[in-house]
Amino acid sequence: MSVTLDRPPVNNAPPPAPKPAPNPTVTPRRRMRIGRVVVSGPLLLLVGFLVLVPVGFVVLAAFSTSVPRPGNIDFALTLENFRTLADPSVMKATGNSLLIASLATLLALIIGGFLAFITARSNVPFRAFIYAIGLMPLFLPSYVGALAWAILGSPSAGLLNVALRDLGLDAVVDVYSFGGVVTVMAIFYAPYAFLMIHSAMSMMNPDLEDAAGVHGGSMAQTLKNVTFPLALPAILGSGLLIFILVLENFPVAQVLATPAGIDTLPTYIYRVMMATPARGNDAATVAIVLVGFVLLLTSLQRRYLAKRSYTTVTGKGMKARRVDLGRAKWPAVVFAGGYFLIAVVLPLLALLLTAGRVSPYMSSFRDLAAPGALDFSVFGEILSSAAFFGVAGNSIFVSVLAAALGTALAFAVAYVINRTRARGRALLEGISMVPLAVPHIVLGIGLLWTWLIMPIPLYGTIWVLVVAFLVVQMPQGLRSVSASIQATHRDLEDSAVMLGARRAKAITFVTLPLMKVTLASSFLLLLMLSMRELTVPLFLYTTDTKILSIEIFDLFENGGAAQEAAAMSVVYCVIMFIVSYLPQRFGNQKH
Amino acid sequence: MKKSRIAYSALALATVLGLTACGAGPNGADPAADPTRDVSDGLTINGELIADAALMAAAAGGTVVMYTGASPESEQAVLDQFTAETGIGGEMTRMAPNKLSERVISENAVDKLSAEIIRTADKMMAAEFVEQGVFVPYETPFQQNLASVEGIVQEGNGYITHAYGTYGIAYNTQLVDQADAPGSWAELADGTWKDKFGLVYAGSGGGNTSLAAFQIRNFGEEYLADLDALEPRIFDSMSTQLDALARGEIEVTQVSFQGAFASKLAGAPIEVVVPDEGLNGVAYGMGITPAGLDNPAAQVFYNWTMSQAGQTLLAEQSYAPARTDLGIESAGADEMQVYEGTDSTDLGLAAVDTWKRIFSYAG
Repeated sequence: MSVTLDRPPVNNAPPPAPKPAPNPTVTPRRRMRIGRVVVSGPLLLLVGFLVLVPVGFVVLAAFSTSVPRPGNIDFALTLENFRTLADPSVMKATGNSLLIASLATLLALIIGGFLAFITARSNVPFRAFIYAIGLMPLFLPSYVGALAWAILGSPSAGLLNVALRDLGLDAVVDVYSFGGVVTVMAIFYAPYAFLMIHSAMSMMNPDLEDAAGVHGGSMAQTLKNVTFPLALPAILGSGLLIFILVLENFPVAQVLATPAGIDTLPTYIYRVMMATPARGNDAATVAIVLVGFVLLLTSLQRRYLAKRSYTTVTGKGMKARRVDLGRAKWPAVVFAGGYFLIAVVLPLLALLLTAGRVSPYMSSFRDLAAPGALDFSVFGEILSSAAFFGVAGNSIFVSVLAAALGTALAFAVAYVINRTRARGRALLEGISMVPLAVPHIVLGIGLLWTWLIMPIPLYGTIWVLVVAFLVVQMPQGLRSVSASIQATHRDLEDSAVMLGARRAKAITFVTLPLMKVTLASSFLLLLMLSMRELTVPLFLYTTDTKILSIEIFDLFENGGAAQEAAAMSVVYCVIMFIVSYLPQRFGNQKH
Repeated sequence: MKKSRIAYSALALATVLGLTACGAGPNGADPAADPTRDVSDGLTINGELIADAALMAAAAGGTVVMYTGASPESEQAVLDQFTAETGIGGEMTRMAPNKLSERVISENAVDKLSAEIIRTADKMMAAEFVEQGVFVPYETPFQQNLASVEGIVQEGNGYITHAYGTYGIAYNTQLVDQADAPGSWAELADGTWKDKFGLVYAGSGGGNTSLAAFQIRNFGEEYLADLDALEPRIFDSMSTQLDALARGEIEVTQVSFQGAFASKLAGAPIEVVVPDEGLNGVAYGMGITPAGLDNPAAQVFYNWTMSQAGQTLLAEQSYAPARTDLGIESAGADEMQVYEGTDSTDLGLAAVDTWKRIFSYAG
């Protein structure tokens, strides 16, 4: 109990001014509204500025009579550009893209989801190694991976076909096909499903599964009715992410689909952009249709997930239960090994062989036995070159910064979206997802135009790449952090607040530590994506700010530099592995 | 060479022939053309003043920044040689033609263009650079010599043609005997190479566009239809096509000899053939930007490129030098056809449309 005593004024101080009467116009309801804007407003401004200005250029291009580049921005609007959409080749490319994206997503979810389940929730042998297998394809940029698979699986000269011929077998592997494109896409995007589903499954509270068991549910029933439904946000989130990434993937489609005469939307856009004269308006038109499509998918996903609660992390215990695989243990290991072989081992061996082969042509593996057929000195040349270290340093600097800032921004946005009732949450999410939908070739130009006209002198410096990567990777970061924030119960943070902690302190000391594993995973994901990014920096780099992906692209584009390009690709993968090793260990502490 | 609707120039193709099976090696430039240098008062090459003492002094220790759409391998070799000869540094950013155009025009619009020299094979792009003020008029100390050669000075000194790229046929030597290789454009399309042939999309750059226009102009649209009947692999860039040729994914193709030069140097089992009907030539343009005009190093590079030394080096990279007055050409070289008519841009655009229609190519 407290007692308040009336005291006379001391030291003749004037009596305190009477408390101003509450402003009748600022009602509690309005104050709450203001608070809701204060939470989301700065983020909306920041994300809106980073994303909407470059995308705005793209949208303006879709509705303009001319390409709205700096110095030529006018607002003579037209709908004529939309006639492009009726072009049969656009329709065909759209159909191909949707089919490839659907099938590749399904396959990637099966691969990634299965690996996530056996590593997070089963007693499969070599669990830590299989966890690494699930992540490893991230070290191989899709452009390099596609080239490696072209080296392996081209019908006439592919190494696999050379090997089959050496063995006297008639079978032909043809990666320049629908199946080849789908498989390679799935292989290289499965880690996204793996990372997100693994996070969800490893944080799952076993109480719900135990309850199912207590009530007579078999293991299969529990998995079907409890475990997998609880992982639904991660499955849907990663599925959506993979679907969109495949839909807009340019390098794999360019390397593997184009030679087969299969056009996709990104290859179509690229061709339109690269045509002489460039048809930037047409490219932008197709691009904004993709944006609309992605926004629609995001909104459907949000509505679907909003109907139920998927919270699995509470303060009541976190030790996820492991399922005994029994006799299925070894087939699971074989499955993981098979994936490791086709996603990592074979492409790396193909690159190694390309780096070491003196002649790019090989009719039989017996050719390698000839004296002087192999020479790996190119690795020494690369590793002793000062230029290489400059380029590698740039890559690491840009990627680490972009990943750290990207994770922080993704957490802030995901928190506002999932944990507050702030105004504009849906808008914030929608805007954050937009870069995913804009093909990078188009977004790269939007970013170029943006940072050329901005008074902030970033263009021409390494920082413009950091900002560009932040924008480009924002959707992936948000998807990744959102899935885990949805799975972390807010009661824990609220309890801290009720016990007197300020909200910021509760977030810092309760929510963030609970999400340590998943935030490390998100950081790792963004780090890998930044290290791999090729298309966007193509428009923004200068001689001084060249990064590894650009250097490799240049070497492959040179023609005749395949040996150096392959060798640098191998070194690149090793660097990515090393750079990601520490965060991976950090993220992997639960294993 | 008259600047007529169709200018046939008998240009030095010693290096081109040097690439062929019976040639003299990659460095096919006439040894007699080896330049003499005098650095006692500035830089004089073969009696031609490249830079006076004041310009050389101002350029000393400087660096020239170049954006280019040409083969980076050969461009880097040119910059390296320039540095070795003058002590002036060189930086290069290579971009695919359209990326180059987009970036240059955008940077220039906001006065952030860092390039001082820009090189492109796209005539339309070069003309636009002049129109946008990216290229500014510039005269070398030996401008009258350049003006005396047809086809070098363009758009009122707005830019110059510094070399010609050449397009012919190439084959994989591991898969095709020299005796069986197609020796003419006609043999290339006669059906022998069905499922073994590849080509690059005609709209992917100035050189490929000019090749399509060359074929339509000389052999008619039906020639493209004959090529289409070979069920070719279509590539979006010359480098990926050359890589496929080197690995044996395709056996025969039509190529830029500059690209083939780089591949062959790297050990690719490739030989090029100068077709009986002649090579297609495409003019490579070089211009100087306002930043270049303010940089003595850029001016020295520009001048040096057009000197005996620079032109000989370009010939070593398998270009046909633009300066036919320097004696770099060698007797017996095949003919190269360079189309420089005023309607060449329109014909190029029409050729791309025809090409897309015949090959059922979207884009």
